[in-house]
Amino acid sequence: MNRLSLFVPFAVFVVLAALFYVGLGREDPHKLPSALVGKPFPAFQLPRLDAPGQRADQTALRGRVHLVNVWATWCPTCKAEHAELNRIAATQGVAIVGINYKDDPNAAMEWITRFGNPYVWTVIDADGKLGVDLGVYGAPETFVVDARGIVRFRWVGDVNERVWNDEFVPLLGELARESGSA
Amino acid sequence: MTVRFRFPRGVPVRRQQPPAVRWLGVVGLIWLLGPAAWAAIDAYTFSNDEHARRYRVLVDELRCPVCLSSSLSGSDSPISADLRREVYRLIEDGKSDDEIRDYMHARYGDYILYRPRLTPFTVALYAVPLVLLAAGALLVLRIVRARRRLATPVAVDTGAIDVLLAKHAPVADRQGDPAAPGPRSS
Repeated sequence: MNRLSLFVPFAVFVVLAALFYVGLGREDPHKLPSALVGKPFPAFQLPRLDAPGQRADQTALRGRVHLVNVWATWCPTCKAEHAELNRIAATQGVAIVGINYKDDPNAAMEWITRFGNPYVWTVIDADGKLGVDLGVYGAPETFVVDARGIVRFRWVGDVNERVWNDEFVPLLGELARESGSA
Repeated sequence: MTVRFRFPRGVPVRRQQPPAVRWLGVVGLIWLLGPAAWAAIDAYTFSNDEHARRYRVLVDELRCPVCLSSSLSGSDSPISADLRREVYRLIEDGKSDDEIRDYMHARYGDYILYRPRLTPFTVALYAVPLVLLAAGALLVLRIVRARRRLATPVAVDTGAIDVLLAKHAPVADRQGDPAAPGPRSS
């Protein structure tokens, strides 16, 4: 029974304290990790908001990287991020697709007419069924879908410039390299 | 002879709690009854009683994704209403309880289940405190045994002690014992 073994409990405490410090300080408990990362974008067939009479389905997400933005007119944070989405669509060379979530299509149409339309196309998810399939629990949420239609990332909350630079740009760079070497 | 208890003079026979305490009591009672009222009111018609029972159990077991700690049954949020509707639809579609849990888990992840899945990670999580407890217990056992060993007296050779005592005893003790040497014996 040597003196060194007396320090074992202390060592265990230090290790646990470090783990707790890192683990508990890490994320906002309100933000859930997406269960869909690595899985194909769920199948859907929904009417287009911006092209009345037409429909879109998940195959439209193949061929290039897309950002899928879940938004609604009743969501104030969506309004706050809209300018940033406009900027990204215009300058960053990435296609943004919209899902109008549990909203009034007329109000939604008026919204994008007034505030600008960053979306290549937008579908109407009136009853929120696609939202449930995506694990959406509040707007806005933004997904990154790669060229094969696989979900790679989900961001909950508004996309502002800092979020764009910290969270999205590195991933998009990686995806570009992936498809470049494919 | 019976003894009667009498209130001492000056104390009113009937003691009343001050209003604040009584209000606390009323509020407390209402608060306890609260949970019964929290059950979300969804008017779903089930095709049979078993479906209705399974629905009630499932919406208690599934967590509301936007609430920090509330089941689907106890939440007013729109997403919870949507998910309750999904549970209803899946039950009526003939899905089993496990299939419904899988459905929710595939979309919302571990958080949506009040009973987390047993994965290697969660098993490790449960095991670590037990392992630490066992290690601690072992350590305590070792310390106790070591102490006990120190406290146990070693077998003593009383014969040798007697000889030594006799050799060095003071002179007064040895009056009349010619064999014993003096205090400064050679």
